[in-house]
Amino acid sequence: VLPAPELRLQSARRCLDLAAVGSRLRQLSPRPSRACPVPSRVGNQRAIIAILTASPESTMLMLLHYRLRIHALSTRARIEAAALRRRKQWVGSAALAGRLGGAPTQSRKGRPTVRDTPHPTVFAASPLLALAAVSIALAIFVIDTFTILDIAIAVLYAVVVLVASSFLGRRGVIVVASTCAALTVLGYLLSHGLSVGTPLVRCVISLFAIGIATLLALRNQAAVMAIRGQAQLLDLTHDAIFVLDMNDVIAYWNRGAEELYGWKADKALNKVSHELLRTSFSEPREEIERKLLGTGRWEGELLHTKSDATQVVVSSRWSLQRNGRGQPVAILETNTDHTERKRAEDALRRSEAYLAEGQRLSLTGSFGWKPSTGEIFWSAQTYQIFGYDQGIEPTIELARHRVHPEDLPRAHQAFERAAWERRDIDLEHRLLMPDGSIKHMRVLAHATTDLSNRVEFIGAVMDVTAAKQAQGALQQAQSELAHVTRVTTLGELAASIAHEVNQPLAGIVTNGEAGLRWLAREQPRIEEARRSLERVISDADRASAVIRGIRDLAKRAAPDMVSLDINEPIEAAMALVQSKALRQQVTLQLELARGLPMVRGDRVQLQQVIINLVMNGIEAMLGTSDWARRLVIGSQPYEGDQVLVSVQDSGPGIDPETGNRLFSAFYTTKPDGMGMGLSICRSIVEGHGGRIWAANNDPGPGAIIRFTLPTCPGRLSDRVPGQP
Amino acid sequence: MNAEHSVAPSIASQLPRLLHAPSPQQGSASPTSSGPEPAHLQEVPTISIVDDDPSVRVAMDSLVRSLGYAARTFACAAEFLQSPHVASTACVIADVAMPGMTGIEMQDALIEEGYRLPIIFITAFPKEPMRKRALDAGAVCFLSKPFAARSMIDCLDAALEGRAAP
Repeated sequence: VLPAPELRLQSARRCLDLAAVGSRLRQLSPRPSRACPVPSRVGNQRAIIAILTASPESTMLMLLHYRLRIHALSTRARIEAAALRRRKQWVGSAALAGRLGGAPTQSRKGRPTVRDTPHPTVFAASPLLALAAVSIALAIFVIDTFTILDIAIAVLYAVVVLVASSFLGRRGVIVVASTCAALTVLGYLLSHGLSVGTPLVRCVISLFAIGIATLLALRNQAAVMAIRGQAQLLDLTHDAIFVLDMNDVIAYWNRGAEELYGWKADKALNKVSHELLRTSFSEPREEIERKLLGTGRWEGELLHTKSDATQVVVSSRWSLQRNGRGQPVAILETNTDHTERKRAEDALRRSEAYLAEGQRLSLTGSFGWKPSTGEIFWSAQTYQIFGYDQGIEPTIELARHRVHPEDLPRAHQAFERAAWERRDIDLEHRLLMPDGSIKHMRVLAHATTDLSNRVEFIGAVMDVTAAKQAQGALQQAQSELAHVTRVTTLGELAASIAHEVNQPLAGIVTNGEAGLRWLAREQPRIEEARRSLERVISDADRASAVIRGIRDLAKRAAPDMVSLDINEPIEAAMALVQSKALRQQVTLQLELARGLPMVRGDRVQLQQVIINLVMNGIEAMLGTSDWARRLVIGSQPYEGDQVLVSVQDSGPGIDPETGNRLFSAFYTTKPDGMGMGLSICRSIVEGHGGRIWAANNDPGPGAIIRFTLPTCPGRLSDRVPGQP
Repeated sequence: MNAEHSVAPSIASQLPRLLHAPSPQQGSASPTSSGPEPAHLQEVPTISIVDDDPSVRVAMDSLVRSLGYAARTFACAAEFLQSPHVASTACVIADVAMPGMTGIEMQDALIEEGYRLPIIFITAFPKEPMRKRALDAGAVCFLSKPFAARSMIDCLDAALEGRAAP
C-alpha cells in the first residue's frame, strides 16, 4: 500500500508526537510504560507555556501534575493490562512510541512487567540508538537509491532524525538532519540523475518531511530540557517530596526523600509508602483520608522509620491530585524533618513541666515586674498562691488586694523603695485570702535593668505558711520543754529554795518574838520593837520575792520579750541557787558590770539559763576539794552591741573531745542527768539572737561558759513580737 | 543579794595557827554589843551569834538582848574563832550551813581547842545524822528554822543553867 503524501505527513507528525512523549516518559516517569496513553500535544504546549511563565513553585506543581497524570495513567494501565493488551491499535501505538523513544520495551514479544523494566536513561541507550539510527539511515539510503520502488522512502529519514534527537544535542540533530537531507539528494541523483519529474517531487517532499521533523524534534528537545531543568528544582529542596498513587504506592521520590530516609529512588519507587516507612499516624488513617478527600489537603505530624531503622518525626503536608473528571489519582506528600525541632520542643516542654512541677511542689511562684510600665508577669504557681485564675491579667492591684491589710503599708513601702533605689527585694508578709485564711509569704526579687536602663524585677514568691506553722510548733515545743526543765530544776532546787524561804521565816518569827519582849519590858523599848517590826516586813518581802520567783519559773507562759538589764535575771537566779552553792561548799562570786545596755528577752527564760549554768558549774565541782570550789558569775559589754554573761567554775574543765557536744540534747556526764540543761540554754540563747559557747579556763583548772545577747535597739526589735 | 557569800574566805586549813596566835584587834563584824547594862556587865552572860544570814543574825541579836543577855554577832565561823570573844562567850548560837566552815566544824574546832561552850544549832537543813553528831558532841539544842521563840528561850535557859539569870 502506498500511502498518500498527506497520509505520510500525518503519520510523521504522529510519530513526532509519540516520540516526544516517549522521550518525556523516559525522563520524567519512573518507568516507561508501553501502556501509557499519550497526552495531547496541546496539553504539552500548555504545560510548557505554564512552565515558562509561572513561578517556580507553580512550575513544580505543574510538573507534578504531569508526572501524576502519567503515573496515574500508567498505574491504571498496569492494573488493566490485560484489557489494554486487547486493544490492538493502542498497543501498536505504544509499541511504536516505545521503539521510537528507544525504550527497550519488547511489547510484541510477551507482556513486559513494569517491575522488570530497567529505568532507562538517554546515555545508557545511546550506543544502541546510534547504531539503530545509522542502520536505518543506511537501509533507507540503499532502498531509496538501489531499488526501483516508486515511493518516497526518503521520508523515513525523519525517523532517523527523531531517533537522533533522543540522544544527540541540538547541533548533532542538525548535523544528522543535514546528513539525511544530503543522503536524500544523493540517492535521488544516483537513481534518477538530474531528471525532473515525480521522483523530484518525492525528493522534495522527503526533504520537507526531514526539515519539519527536525524542527519539531528540536523544539520538543528544548521543551524537554526546560521541563527537566524545572524538575531538578524538586531535588534542590530539603524537604522530602514523594508522590503516592491512591494505593499508597510511591510513584516519585525526590533527592530530599533520598537524603531524609536513606533509600535511593530506585529502592523506594513502587513500594507502598507506609510499609516502607513504617508510618505511625498521629490520627486515624480514616480521618486523614476523609480530610484529604474533603478538602484536598491534610497537614500533620508523622513518625517514620528510616533505612537505618532510626525514627524521624516529620511535619507532613499532603495534597490530593484529581484528574479531569474530578477523581482522585494521586497524593503529593511533602515531609519536613522535625526530629530536632521536636526534640528541642520536647526538651523545652519538659523543662517547662519540670519548672512548673518544681514551683508547684515548692510552693514557689515566679514573677516579673517593670515599675516604669507596670508590666507584670506571674507564673502559674504565682496565680495559685494568690488564688487567682490564670486567665486574669496580673496587676499590682490584684496583688495588693490579697496582701494582709496590716502588712500592706510595709509591703507597699518595700516595693516602692526597691523600685526607687533599684535594690533587691527581700520581704516577708502575709496574704489574707478570700476565705479568711492567712498565708505567709517570702518575696525575693532581683533588680535588673532593661535595654532602656529601666529597672525590672525578676523574683519569686514562696508560700512559707507551712514553715511558719512548723516554726511556731517548734517554738511551742521548745517553750514547753523549757518549762518542763524549769520545773525539774525547781525540784532539784527544792531544798535550796526551802532554805531561802526558811531564813526570812526564821527572821520573822524571831523578830516578832523579840518585838513582843521589847514591849513587855517594865520599861518598854519602843525603838527596839519598831526596828524588829521593820525587819519582820523586810523578811516577809524577802520570802515573798523568793516565792514569786518560784512561781515565775514554774508557770507555763509564752515568752514575754521585754527590755531588761541582764543583771536582773542573774540576781534573781542567785536567790534560788545560793543555798545549793552553800550546801555544796561552793563560793559564789558576782562580778556584774553596772549600767549595761538593755537587752530584749524573756526574764524567766534568761533566769533559767543562768540557773542551769550555775547548777552545771556547781555539779562540775563536786569532785574537787572544798577550798577550790568557786563559781564566778560575770556580766560585761561585748563587741559594742552585745552583752556577755560568763559563768566560770573551778572544776575539772571540759574534755576537749566532748566540747562540741556539750550543748547537744541528751548529752550528759551525770549518771542521772537528762542532758537537757545546756541544750535548753542554747535554744533559749539562740532564740534571743545570741550565742553560747564553752571553753576551759586559761590558766586552769575549770571551765567557763559564756553567752552573748544583742542589746536593743538591735535586730531583735525588728522581729515580729512573740517570735524570739 | 547577799554579797557576803562572795567574799567568804576559806580558812579551815589556816585555823589552828590563827587560834594559837589570836589577832589583837576586834573582829570587824562584831558590832552589836549595845546593851545598856554597864552596871551589871560582869553578871550578864554574853551570847555569840554565828550565822551567815543577816536577817536571822540581826533578829537573833534582838531577841537575845530582849531577853536581857548581851549579844555578839559573827557572819561566819572563822570570824568568831578569830575574835577575842571566844573565851568570854557564855553560849553560842550557830547556824549549821555556812560558807567556809560549817557550824559542826566550828564545834569540833572549839572542842579541839579545849573550849566547852554550850552551843545551840539552828539550821534550815535539818538532817538527823547531823543533829545526832552535834548533840553527841555536846550541843545543847538543834533547832530547825523557823523555830518558835519559846524553844530558843528554853534552849538558852538550858545552856545557861547554873549561871545567874539576867
